[in-house]
Amino acid sequence: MNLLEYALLAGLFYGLYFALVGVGLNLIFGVMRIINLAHGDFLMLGAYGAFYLYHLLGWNPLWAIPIELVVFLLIGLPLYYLLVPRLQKSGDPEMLSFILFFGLSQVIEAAAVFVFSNNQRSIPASVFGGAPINIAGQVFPVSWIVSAAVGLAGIGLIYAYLYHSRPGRATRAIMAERSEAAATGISVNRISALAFGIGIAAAALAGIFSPFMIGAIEPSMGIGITVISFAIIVIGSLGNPIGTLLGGLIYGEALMLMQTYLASWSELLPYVLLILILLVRPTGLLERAVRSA
Amino acid sequence: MSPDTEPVLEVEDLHKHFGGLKALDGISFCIAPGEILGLAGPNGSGKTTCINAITGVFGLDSGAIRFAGKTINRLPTYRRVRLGINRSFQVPSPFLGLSVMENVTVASVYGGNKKRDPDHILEITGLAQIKDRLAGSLNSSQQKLLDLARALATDPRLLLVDEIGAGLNPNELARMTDQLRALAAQGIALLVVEHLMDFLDRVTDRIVVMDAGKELFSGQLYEAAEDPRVVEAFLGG
Repeated sequence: MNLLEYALLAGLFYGLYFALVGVGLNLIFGVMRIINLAHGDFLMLGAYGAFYLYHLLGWNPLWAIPIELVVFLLIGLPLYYLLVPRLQKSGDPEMLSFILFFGLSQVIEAAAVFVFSNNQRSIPASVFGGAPINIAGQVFPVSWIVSAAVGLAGIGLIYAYLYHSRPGRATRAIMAERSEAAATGISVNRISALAFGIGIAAAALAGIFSPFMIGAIEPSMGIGITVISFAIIVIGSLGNPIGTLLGGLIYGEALMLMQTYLASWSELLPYVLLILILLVRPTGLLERAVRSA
Repeated sequence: MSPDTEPVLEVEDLHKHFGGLKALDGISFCIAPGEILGLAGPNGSGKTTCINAITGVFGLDSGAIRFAGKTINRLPTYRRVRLGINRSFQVPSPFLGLSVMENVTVASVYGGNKKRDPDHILEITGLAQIKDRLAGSLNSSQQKLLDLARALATDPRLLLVDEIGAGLNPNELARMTDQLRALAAQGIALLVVEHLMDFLDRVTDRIVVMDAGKELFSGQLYEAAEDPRVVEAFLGG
């Protein structure tokens, strides 16, 4: 019983964190109907950012949060204007986005190898303090609790942005009807660029905590993260950023249960979940229809 | 020409090809403030293409669109909306995941004039009672009204109305007629694309009949009915 309780609680912490891992990908898909296959690579860059701030300057990874949010938002805005408007003018932007962002992913990975080398890096979990925390009779590392709390806060901020801010309402309008949003005076490109920047910044934010939740930092980690993120957002419903919370929780719980009872099979989890959900409920568990064809 | 009669919209010699199809082939007309101009013609004559060109959905091959004396050919759609041009759609597509009020608020905030009170817009379009409902839960005539409300929330000086009568029952058509005439009385110029000739007759001051992207006739609707070119275009040779 103790083992099950541990797995369920750990799954909750992992789920909240993995919701943050996937939410940026889902926001970008929801607003632009494109798949950012470089999503995991931006997470990897966020992880390296936290690593170097810690190792070169001795900064706690929590200080990396505001810095990386601003830096990656500012990277996302020009990147949007460089890539996405041209993509949107093509006949099949969804399909072409796979090719374009796969290429971008490869470029980022190659550049990361060149700059950071292939050596694995990590940040010690003790950076958040010493003793593990006891919750309901189970003991968990502080880094897990912090990562889960940041994940929840990140999702909460994106919810507040979408539902309680002016640009957020415009973002939801574009998500509902991109072509008609312009007819209400919304600058679709400006709002989409902001969403793109937020999506990339959310990935980088998740990257800061990846050494504690996912494992060692290395340039090739991006593609695996992108697959996990894709599984999470498909479970929670493509195009519905808040549904990512549900997807993340299901993924986190499933991962912890697998690692507890069937550890050697846990690597297969994202693929199995992805196939299952596509077969059983292709619109995701929240069943938000996002495709017209 | 006095300021009141100066056209708010002038379209001049518009040309647009889609592949080998001439969608617009030299159409020209103008609309004065407070005037309701009807745009009629058989299916495929270029009416909706004309609206799309005026609102900036796509660029023109040649020709000029002037709004309040300023050429707007190269402005994107959202900039035209902020200048005072808006439209309702043949098949309305409100933001389904947003409430009726949020639909109108978004348009009011981003459409260029923050002074338009969404509550007032919902009141005059008869949607106040259902302002908290999700747009996705409305029936088709309510969605048409929401489409109109959203356009009005941007404080347009020119409103392009595409097939708004389609699917409405006689009572709803009568109410819509009154609403459009009331908007014109406030000085808004309206371009009404419609297949329902009776509705067009009650709403418009004059009409332009299009065929194959060109102007076939310009004048009063009753005169158009007597014009053999118009009759042939509608009924076929």
